[in-house]
This record gives sequence, structure tokens and C-alpha cells, in this order.
Amino acid sequence: MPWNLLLLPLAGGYYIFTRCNVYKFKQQRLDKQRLIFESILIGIVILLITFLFRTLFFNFIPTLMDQIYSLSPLKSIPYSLTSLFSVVISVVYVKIINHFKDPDKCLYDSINEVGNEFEKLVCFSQEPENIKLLQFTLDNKKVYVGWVRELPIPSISTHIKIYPAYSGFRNDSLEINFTTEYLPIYSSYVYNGEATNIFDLGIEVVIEISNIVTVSNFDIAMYAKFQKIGGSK
Amino acid sequence: MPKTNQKYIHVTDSGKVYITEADFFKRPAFKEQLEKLMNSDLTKQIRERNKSKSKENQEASLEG
Repeated sequence: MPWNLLLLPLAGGYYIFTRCNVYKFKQQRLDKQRLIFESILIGIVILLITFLFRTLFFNFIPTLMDQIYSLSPLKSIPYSLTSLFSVVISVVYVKIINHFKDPDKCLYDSINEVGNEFEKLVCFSQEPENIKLLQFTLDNKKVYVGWVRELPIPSISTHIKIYPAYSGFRNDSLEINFTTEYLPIYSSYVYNGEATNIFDLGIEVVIEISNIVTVSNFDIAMYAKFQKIGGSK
Repeated sequence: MPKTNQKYIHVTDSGKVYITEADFFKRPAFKEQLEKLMNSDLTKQIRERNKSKSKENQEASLEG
């Protein structure tokens, strides 16, 4: 087998690792350098499976296999069709797995397994009966309390979008002073129907994740208790 | 795995996670939370502080 034909199983491994729901969300959260080694490992497995198919086909349907090879434009290159078949197997495998594997479930499993604490806090803060507000403190002492709009792909974007409920700042003794409330806007949307779509209001705040110093759940009742005992969370 | 209802979170093909979709703001739980926040002491404090600040600013502009 010519060595350059090994590129095709490697490409198959890369395709599986970056497109298959089971692997792609993990891959987005892992070191970039691991991508090539994981692709090689998956490529080796695909190659072994392809050779298994080749052996089976040549044993059970040898005449058909000879006909296929005689029609192939690549018949002068040994193992070329076998190598090409490994890519076909990869694509078929991804289509089948993605059809049955729910991407939401796969993402949750991936975040649970290899996600960082920030992602876990944001992603798992949403329960149907208990929507949680999150409090962000930035490195410029600005404080936002809000609902997260979206969580980016870690390897692609470094920003998150939030819908703020309150914003303020931390003073020199690091106590929080809230100065702005955004709630009437949401209220008008929810109750009066003044805005047709909350996304058109343009009140999202984009924050660079590297500028976030702390993130925590924000519970208004707990905040009031902290205020009573004389401290800000 | 933490208890979470995944149907409220949408994952795109590329892997981006949308936590708050348009229907987020129509959810009963959101309405309840909004009411709590609107009636909270914190909201009242902010409004009072902003009112007194705007008064101060008006007075300062009149003096000026």
C-alpha cells in the first residue's frame, strides 16, 4: 500500500472527530494538538475496519469485487479503493450516529466531562422552574447581573452575550453598587407586548470571557440577606 | 450530571449553545422571576437613588 494513501483514513478520522456529535463537542474543548493524534487513532480503527470489509468481500463476493476493480480508474494503484472506502465508511458512520444521537445530550455529556467550571455553571444554570440569574464581575470592576443569551464554541469565540437585569460597579472596598436596572424593558415586552421581539431591542451585552473575574449565581433573596448582615456578595 | 431541562437550550450544528431563545421571555418561570425582581428592595433602592441623583442634577443645573 503506498504511504500517501494513508491520508484518506486519516481524513476519515478527522471527519469523524470534527463532525460526529459524540466527538465534536469534546474536540472543541480539548487542546488543538490533540486533534491530530485523535484523528490518527480513529483513522487506524477505520483502516482496520476497511481491511476487514475488504477481506470479507473478497472471500464472499470475489467476482463482483473483480468487476468493480476492473472498472475502477484507480486500479493501477494498489489499495486505492480500499483507502477511498475508508472515507465512505467515515461519512456513513457520522450520518448514522448523528441521526440517532441527540446533539443536546452529547453537548451536555461533553461539558460534563471536559468542560471548564464556567461552562458548567452557565449551561447547567437553566432549570425550567428555576431560572437562575448570573452575576459577572469584570476586571474593570463593572458588575452585571443577567441571563446568558448564548455560550460560544470555546475554540472559536471568546465572548458571551447576556441580557442584563442590573448593572453597577464594585467600589474601593469591593462592595457592589447597582446603578442601572433593565427590568422595565423586559417587563414591557412580557406584559404589554410593546416590543415584538426581545432580540430586536438590542440590549444584549457582549463580554469577553477573559475579562470576567468571577461568576456566581445571583439570588435576589440571598442578596437581600447579605445586605442585611452588612456585606455584598 | 446536574438536573437540567435540555429542551430550553438549543445547540446549533456547529456547537454554539443558545440558552435564552425568544420563548425564554414567555416562560411562566421567567414572568415569576421578573415580578420578584421588580418588587425587590434592590430595584426600589436603584430607582430611589436614580431619582435623588436626577433631582441633584436638576438643582445643580438650575444653580449653574
